Amino acid sequence: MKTRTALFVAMLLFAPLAWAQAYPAKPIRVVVAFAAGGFADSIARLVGQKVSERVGQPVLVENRGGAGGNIAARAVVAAAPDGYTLLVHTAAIAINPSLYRSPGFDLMSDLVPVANTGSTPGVFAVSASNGASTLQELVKAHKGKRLTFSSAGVGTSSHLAGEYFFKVIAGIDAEHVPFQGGAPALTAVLSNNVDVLSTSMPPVVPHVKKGSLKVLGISSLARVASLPAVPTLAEAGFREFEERSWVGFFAPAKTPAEVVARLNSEINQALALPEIRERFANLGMDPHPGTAAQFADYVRKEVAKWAAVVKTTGIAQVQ
Amino acid sequence: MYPLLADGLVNIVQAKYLLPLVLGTLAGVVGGALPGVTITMTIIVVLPFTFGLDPLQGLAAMTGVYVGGSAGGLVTAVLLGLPGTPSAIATTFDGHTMAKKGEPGRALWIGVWASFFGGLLGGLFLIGATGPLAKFALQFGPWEFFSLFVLALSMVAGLVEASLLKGLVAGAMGLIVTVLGNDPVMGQERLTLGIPFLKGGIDFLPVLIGVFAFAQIMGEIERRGVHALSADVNRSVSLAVSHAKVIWEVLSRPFQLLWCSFVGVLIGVLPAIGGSAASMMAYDQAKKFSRRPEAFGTGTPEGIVASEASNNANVGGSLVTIMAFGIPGDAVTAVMLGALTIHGIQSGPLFISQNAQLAYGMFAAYLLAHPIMVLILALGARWMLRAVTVPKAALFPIVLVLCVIGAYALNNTMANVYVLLAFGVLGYLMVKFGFPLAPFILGVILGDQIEINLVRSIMTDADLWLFVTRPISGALLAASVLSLAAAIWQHRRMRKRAAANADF
Repeated sequence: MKTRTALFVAMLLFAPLAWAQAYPAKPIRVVVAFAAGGFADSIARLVGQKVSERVGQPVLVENRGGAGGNIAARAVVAAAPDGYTLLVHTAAIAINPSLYRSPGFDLMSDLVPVANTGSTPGVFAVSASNGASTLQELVKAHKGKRLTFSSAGVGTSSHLAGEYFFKVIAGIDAEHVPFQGGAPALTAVLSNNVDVLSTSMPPVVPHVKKGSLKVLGISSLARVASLPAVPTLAEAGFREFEERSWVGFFAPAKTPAEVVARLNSEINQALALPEIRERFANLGMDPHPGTAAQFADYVRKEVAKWAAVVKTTGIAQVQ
Repeated sequence: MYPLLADGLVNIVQAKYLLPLVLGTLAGVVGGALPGVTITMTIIVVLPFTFGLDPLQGLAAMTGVYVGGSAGGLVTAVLLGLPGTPSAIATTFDGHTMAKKGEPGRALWIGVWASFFGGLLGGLFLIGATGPLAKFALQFGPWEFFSLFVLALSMVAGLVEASLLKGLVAGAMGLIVTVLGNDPVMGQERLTLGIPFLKGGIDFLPVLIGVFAFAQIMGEIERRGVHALSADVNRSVSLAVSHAKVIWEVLSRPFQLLWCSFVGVLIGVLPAIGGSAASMMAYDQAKKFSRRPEAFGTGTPEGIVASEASNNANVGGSLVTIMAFGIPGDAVTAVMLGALTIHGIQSGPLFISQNAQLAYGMFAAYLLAHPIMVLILALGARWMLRAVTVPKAALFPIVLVLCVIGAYALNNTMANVYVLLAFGVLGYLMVKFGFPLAPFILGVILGDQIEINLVRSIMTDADLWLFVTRPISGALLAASVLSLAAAIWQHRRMRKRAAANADF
């Protein structure tokens, strides 16, 4: 009888510890804010897979596109803060506070940044049949004739980069046509329904190799290895401008700090794997390992940068 | 191309690929048959298991899920009258009616063999006409998509059943559902009525299962009475049929089979709406071209063939954009290509040329999945029979619980369960007051897409004449007008005939 009582007390005492060690005790749901098959999705699955192998639990990726990723963010904000629901979002999450009058959540108080994975520069690409072969030619051809550009959706960094470059830097009349995800935005340019594709670099590279798309400029401070022939905006004769698409993990705000730290460390260790390094290099992604606090700093800087862009371009705020 | 495909077939019949293909097809059939579990959900469940396999094993398993799921949905549609997957909606119209008339086996196997032949015809289009189909797909800008969906919406007129007015009201109600929540282009909130869960809009799936499950089940309970349901154990029913006879029923209308498969392929090639619209469009077309349109909805084999041939051919169509551009055509293929990223294979236009063995292995798996699907259904018929012989008093609660679980599992939120409940009540009331469900569902499927493409085309070019002057878009709009006129003409003729018959 006594042993039983002792056992019971011991169980009570160690239960919290056992719980903490047990994380993750069930599959982790990762909500990706953009369509399956896109950029954020690939990274989420790649890193998620490695994290899954490390922690011994499945990482289930779920895609909830639309409204610049706000729909997915709201879903995660509403989820239990237990480390079993994570959000994978892009630079768009740093843009939405300035672009949306009411995004439906507060980035810094409803979510906690867990880890950044990496980033890649934005590009402007046209169909191979487009007459322009440099950015200067493209801009000249559209003086007084409206240019259309497609992006993965309203409020993506590609959307804002397009607005800022064409309207402010190049000073031409441009209309943004939003799609739900990168793949349909790319198809729209392949089929010449839209003039220019503003997107992150990875999905464009195979199309350049195949010869179906031409990349005219890269929104980066220096040329990149995957597209060595493509000039930066400054080299193309325009003002310097940097736009990087990054993909980061977030969790609901009240997620326990030790769970956030554990996830951060697992993601960082996944990023350090030679296999992921190589995969990132193939994709044109620069890995960004770091602590959760460093990522939070980075997010704050991005928020400030895009707030300024929204202001100068005069993009109408979304409700 | 053909030697590569032959290599693919030789490759895929090896045990190490055949086993995942069979298991995937089985998972697809089961997931497809469960109301509330879609093919996309099934494939996402299967996805983690493929990480440990080699890429082609994983692709074989997922291709199996896709083919199996498209066929599995018909089992529930025929035996219970609720679509197991959205793409089986049109199968309920005639399949369940025929089953209720005492021929569940015939209805089921017409559906299975139509899926088989439709799927293989889809495969022929896929392999033989990728180039032209892909070129055709690239002709589709937002104007063409808008006009295509208007054409699809014009089918409401063909699905109105007895009262034109009630059918139109049902269709309009469906469109209104898609307006609630978020505007799909800019993400502006609208008509959320201050209800937080409406902010994300209403998911299609709980609406679909709610409307169908409740309308079917509550309606039947009411009709037959609670006592009849618990006593009603029909042991004499059998699903056994003469396969030769059923196959002949499918193949004896070659034009219809070909045309419906072609409609399925085309809708598959054009991303955005998928199998649900394909099966309904094919059903509508079959009805328009039929010499006996009045037989549709009363349990005619033609209706089952149209729906099932097109939804399996649709799978073949959605593989076309992969073959041509390495771009996923729909949510299911997007997951399949996304899985390849994990293995270090990038989708894109170089996918086929750099991974020929993998790509052709996938097409081979697609072709082979069809006989496997038929085999699985033949072996599973014994268990499917239970759905017919088990007392309804036991079956109905089980089905309703499955529906609720499916709705919950969609996003792991109760919101969708409430949506299910609300639309269950709505569906019940609609049937009670004689409003047809099909136009309502069609409105829900198409509303978002019509709006997105209308906004997108005007953003691209403010000239509204483009809808008419772009040749494909103009032709599609003209077809919608014709489709409307034909439907109204058929509707009148049927009413006149009914009136004439009443005189005797």
